[in-house]
Amino acid sequence: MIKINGVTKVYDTHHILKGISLEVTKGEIIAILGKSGCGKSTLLKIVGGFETSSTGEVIVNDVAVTEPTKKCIMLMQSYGLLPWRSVEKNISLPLEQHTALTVEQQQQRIAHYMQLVQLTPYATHYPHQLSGGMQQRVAIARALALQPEAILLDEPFAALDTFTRYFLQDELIKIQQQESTTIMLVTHDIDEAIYLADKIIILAEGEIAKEITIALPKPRDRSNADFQHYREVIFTEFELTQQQMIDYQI
Amino acid sequence: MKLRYMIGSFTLLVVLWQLVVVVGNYEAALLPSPKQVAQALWSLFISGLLLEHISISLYRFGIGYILAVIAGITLGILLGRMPTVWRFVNPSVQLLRPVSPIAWSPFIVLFAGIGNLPAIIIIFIAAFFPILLATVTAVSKISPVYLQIAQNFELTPFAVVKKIIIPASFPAIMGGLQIALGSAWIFLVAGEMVGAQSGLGFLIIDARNALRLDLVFAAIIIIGLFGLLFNTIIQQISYRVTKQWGVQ
Ligand SMILES: Nc1ncnc2c1ncn2[C@@H]1O[C@H](COP(=O)(O)OP(=O)(O)OP(=O)(O)O)[C@@H](O)[C@H]1O
Ligand SMILES: [Mg+2]
Repeated sequence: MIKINGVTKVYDTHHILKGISLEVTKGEIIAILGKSGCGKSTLLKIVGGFETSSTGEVIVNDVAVTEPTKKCIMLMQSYGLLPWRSVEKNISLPLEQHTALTVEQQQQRIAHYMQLVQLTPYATHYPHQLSGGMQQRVAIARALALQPEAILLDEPFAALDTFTRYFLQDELIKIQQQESTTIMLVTHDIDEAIYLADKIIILAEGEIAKEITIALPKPRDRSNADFQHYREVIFTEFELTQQQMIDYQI
Repeated sequence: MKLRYMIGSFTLLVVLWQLVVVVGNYEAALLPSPKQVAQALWSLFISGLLLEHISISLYRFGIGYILAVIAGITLGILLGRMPTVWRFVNPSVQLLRPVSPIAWSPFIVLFAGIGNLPAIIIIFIAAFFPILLATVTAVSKISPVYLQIAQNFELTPFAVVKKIIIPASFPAIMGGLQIALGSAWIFLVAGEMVGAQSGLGFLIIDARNALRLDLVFAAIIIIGLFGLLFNTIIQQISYRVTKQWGVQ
């Protein structure tokens, strides 16, 4: 479980985050939405321990976060695969020294997660031989293989085409249901947030402007009336006009 | 390098050489013809002297170069990870680097006497700086993303060096190794002219003293061929590595 207690962040004299408090329960998917520059990435980095908060604290499983740990794995925008390692070797990187697993158990776990992201046939391929979506799946498998408390995703699918994005969103839901990993996800994409999240956090002016619980069963239907309802709630929150909603083909 | 270009190029070189000999009508002692040099090479080979000189030279070269690789990469990784220390060390390195290893030869002979050691030291100096600089640059340019991942996965410092830093900087270090190989081989001959009584460099000095320019030429050809061979080998390794890494 992740507890964010009154986290603030000041850059120079600029107050980016003005007291964020939030609880994420185990197995939940939280999506953070907000306009560009509102501090979404900053918040995620603070949760991951890659950035320190000015005041307040983040607690993961009763321990305050002071530096990155293997309990929360952050997925980098650039996927962060090691180009000199094959797919299976990339996934094995975090396992090699940590877990009390035998080599055989490691192999099994790598095989399991490769299967989960449907990359078993590509085990011996190198990252540069894979498409962007496949690289992203390797990165997800590598993070999951450690069986962390949570994974933190900063606009994970932003660089991918629509088809790949939809495919990976479904994959992520499937994987999350199997592994019940807690996921914190930053996104620009309102539909993505509604499609994936159990709870949406809207950040504005450095504060949580709204928390929206999405009470729809998964997998969700983007053309469903309830889905549309959540869109409208979010659009209203961002004070988008009726015209803009038409432009966005809502 | 394609083999047919290589053969074509060497043939052209020999033809030109022969042409200069014929047109210039030089005395054989002044400018030996390709045929005389070939004969000299053959006689060196038959007598066993050639292999003897080659093996002692390769031995010195191997020791000097490998020591430089070990020292250069180790120090390079340390200094590459300590930018502040490097800022203090770098000016002195830049001061020493352009000095020809031969300039040190008076000291080297004084401290190391004659024999294998002076040549080894000169080869070491020639190879060390390019490797050190390439390694420092490569290590300091490693993408912070890789180091963040290492931090996130809580890799031990040893694992970070072994699994992240060395492989991440390897393609760039390869470039330094290649430059160092060439420059060290150039200074092998110079090194053996300073304090040695054997080896390819000594062969040249010895032949010159005996006014046997055909032998001088023979030694030059062997030195050139080995230089070419080394360069081809390291280029191949470098090519394989970068191809597997998927970097350009
Ligand atoms: N290292 C830093 N130093 C100073 N200011 C920073 C730093 N990092 C981020 N900021 C500022 O903090 C604010 C929030 O940045 P952040 O990256 O968290 O935004 P974001 O919500 O993720 O935006 P986007 O949607 O564009 O990714 C921005 O105004 C940015 O200029
Ligand atoms: Mg961001």
